[in-house]
Amino acid sequence: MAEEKKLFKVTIDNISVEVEPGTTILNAARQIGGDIVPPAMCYYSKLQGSGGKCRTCLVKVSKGSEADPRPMPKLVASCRTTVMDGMEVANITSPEVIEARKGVVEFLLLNHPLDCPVCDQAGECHLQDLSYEHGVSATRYEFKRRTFDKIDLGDHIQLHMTRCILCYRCVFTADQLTEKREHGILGRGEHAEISTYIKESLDNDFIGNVIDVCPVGALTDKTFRFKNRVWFLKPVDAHRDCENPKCCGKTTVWLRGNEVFRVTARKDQYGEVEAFICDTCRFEKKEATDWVIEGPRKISRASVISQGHYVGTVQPKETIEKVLDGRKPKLLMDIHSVSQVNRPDIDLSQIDGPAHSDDFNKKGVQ
Amino acid sequence: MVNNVETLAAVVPIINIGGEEYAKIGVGKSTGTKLISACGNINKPGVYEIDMTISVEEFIYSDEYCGGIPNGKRLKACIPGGSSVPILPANLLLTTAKGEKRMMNYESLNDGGFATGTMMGSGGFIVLDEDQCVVRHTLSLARFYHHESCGQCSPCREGTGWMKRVLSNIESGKGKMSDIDLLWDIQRKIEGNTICPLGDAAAWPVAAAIRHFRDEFEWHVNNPEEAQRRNFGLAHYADPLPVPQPVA
Ligand code: SF4
Ligand code: SF4
Ligand code: FES
Repeated sequence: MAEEKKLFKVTIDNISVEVEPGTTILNAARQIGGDIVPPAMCYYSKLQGSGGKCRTCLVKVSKGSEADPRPMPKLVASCRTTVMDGMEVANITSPEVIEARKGVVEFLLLNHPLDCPVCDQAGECHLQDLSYEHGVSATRYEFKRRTFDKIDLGDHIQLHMTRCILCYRCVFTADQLTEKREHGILGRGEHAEISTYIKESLDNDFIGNVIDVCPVGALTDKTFRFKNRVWFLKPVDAHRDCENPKCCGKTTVWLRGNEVFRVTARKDQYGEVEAFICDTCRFEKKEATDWVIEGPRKISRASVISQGHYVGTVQPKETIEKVLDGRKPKLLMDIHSVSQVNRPDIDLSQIDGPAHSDDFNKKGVQ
Repeated sequence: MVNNVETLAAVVPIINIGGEEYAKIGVGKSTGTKLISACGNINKPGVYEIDMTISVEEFIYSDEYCGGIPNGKRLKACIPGGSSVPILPANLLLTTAKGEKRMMNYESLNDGGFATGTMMGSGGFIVLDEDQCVVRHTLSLARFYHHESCGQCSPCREGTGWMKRVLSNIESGKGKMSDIDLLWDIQRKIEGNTICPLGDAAAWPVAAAIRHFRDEFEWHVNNPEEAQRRNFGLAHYADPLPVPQPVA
C-alpha cells in the first residue's frame, strides 16, 4: 500500500496551510492567497532557477520547524526558501519585513528613471505597484543615475536598459525557451547590463516572451510601442490554431473597438504567464479576424489597468481637515506660498533663496 | 570556508601531533593557532602565527609581533579581522567594555557584540595611528565593496555604490549632516538582506565607523575646508584615553 505523503504544515502571518514538502514559502503563501503573499519581482514559477535576486519577497522565519524551533537569524527570500514542517513565517505582520522591503524598493528605484508617463509598461508595471504599495514618495539619492541608450533587439523588441531591475527573468526565458541563447548579462555590480552578444538581433520563435516576463518596461514590444496606453484597451481572451506545435495559441488580445493593438500571453494574478506563446501570434496576427474571441480577460492585479475593479482596497477614513491639523483645505489656486500649507508661520518671502526643507524643519522660525 | 590555505596548513600539525594535542594550544574555544596578517601603521608588518593567548596590546606593541607604532605616534583605531569587521577605537580595542584586557582570540574580540566589540574574522589586522582619517578609510573600504559587488541582488548592487558616493561627498567636504544618518540607514537596509555575505561585509565597516567615530564624520561636515587640508580627522581616540571624549 502506498504510504500517504506527509504534508508540511506552515503558518504564514498566523494563517496555516498544509503543503507538499519542497514547496517554497512564497508558493505556500500563494496557496493561501490574499495580502500575505510576498511580492515577487524576479521569481517566476515557469522559469527554472529564477528568484533570489530582487529581495522584495523577504520574510521573517520566526520558527524554523517543529524539530528545530529556532528562528532564522536573517530575513530570507521566500521564493528560494523551502518550508519545513511546523515553520512559522511573518510577512506583513512583521515590521522588520516591511521596513526591509521598503529598503529594497528604494534600492530598485535608485537608478530607475521613473519615466512612467512615456513608458509602455505603465499600468501593468510591477515596479509601479510595488513602489506604490511600499515606497517612499521621494528619493534620497542625489547622484547621477545610471543611463543607457535604447537598443533594438531585432525587429520586434526594444531594450531600454535604464529601466531594467536586473531580475534575470529574460535571461532564463531566453535560455529555457529558445534554442540558441544569444542574450545574457554582461558586466558585474552596478555595471551589469542585459545584452545580446555584441548587439545581435534576437531572432527566435519564442523570444517575444521576454517582453511578458519583464516586470518593468525594459523590454517592450516594438509593434505596440507608443500606440496606446494599456488601460485604454480592452483585454479579451482569444485563441487561434497556431501552426507552431510548441505554441498553445491561447492569448490575450488587447482591443480598442475592433482593432487589435497587441497580443500577449495570458497572465495570472501574479503577472505570470499561463503558457508561453510564439512570436507569430504575438507580433504578426494583428487583425481581429485572426482570432477567435472567447470573452473578457479579468485582470486581477491592482494596477491602474484594473481601474474600477480594485479588490479589497481600503478607502482612507481621515478627512483632509484632520490631516491638516484642523486647517481648512485650500484650492491650489488659493495657495500663494507653500508655507500656507505646510507651516503657516513661515513667510516664504522672508527666506533667502529658494525654500529648502531645512526652513520648514527648523523649530520656531519667524 | 574549508579549503583555504590556512585551514589546509593546520591539517599537517593536527595529523602529526593528533587532534587532542593540537586543541590544547590556545584558550577556551579558540584552540589551535591563528595566522594574523598585520599591516597599517606598525613597525613590523607581516604574517604572524599566534596561539590566541596573547593580548591585543601585546600583539601590537611587543617586538615579537608588530613592534609598536612607528614615529612615536599613538594608536587611534584598529580593524582586527579583515576589512569587513567592525573598526574599534583604541580604548575599546585594548580593553573590553567590561574593563577586561582584550585578548587576541575569537571570544574576547567578540566581547560586547557589535556595540563595543568586533570579530576575529579572517585575521587581517589593520592598525591606524592618530594621523589616519576614519572617513577616508571607510571610503576606501566602501569603494572596495562597491567594486566587488557582483550585482545579482538589488540591495548590494545599488546600496554599495550609494554608500560610496555619500562617503566620497563627506570626505571631499561636500557632505551634509543628514548624510551621516542616511549612511546609517543605507547600511541597515543592506545588512542581512542580500544573497551572500558581501552585503553584510559592505555594511559593517560603515556602521562601525559611524557608531564609534560619528564625531569625526560630523567634523568633516562642519569643517569641509580643513578636512581637505589635513585629512586625518580627529585624534582624540588615541590611546591611552580611557573613554572617548564628547566632541565640543
Ligand atoms: S518600468 Fe514601470 S516604473 Fe519604470 S518607467 Fe515604466 S511604468 Fe514606470
Ligand atoms: S530586461 Fe526586464 S526581464 Fe530582463 S532582467 Fe531587466 S527587468 Fe528583468
Ligand atoms: S522574488 Fe524572491 S528574491 Fe525576487
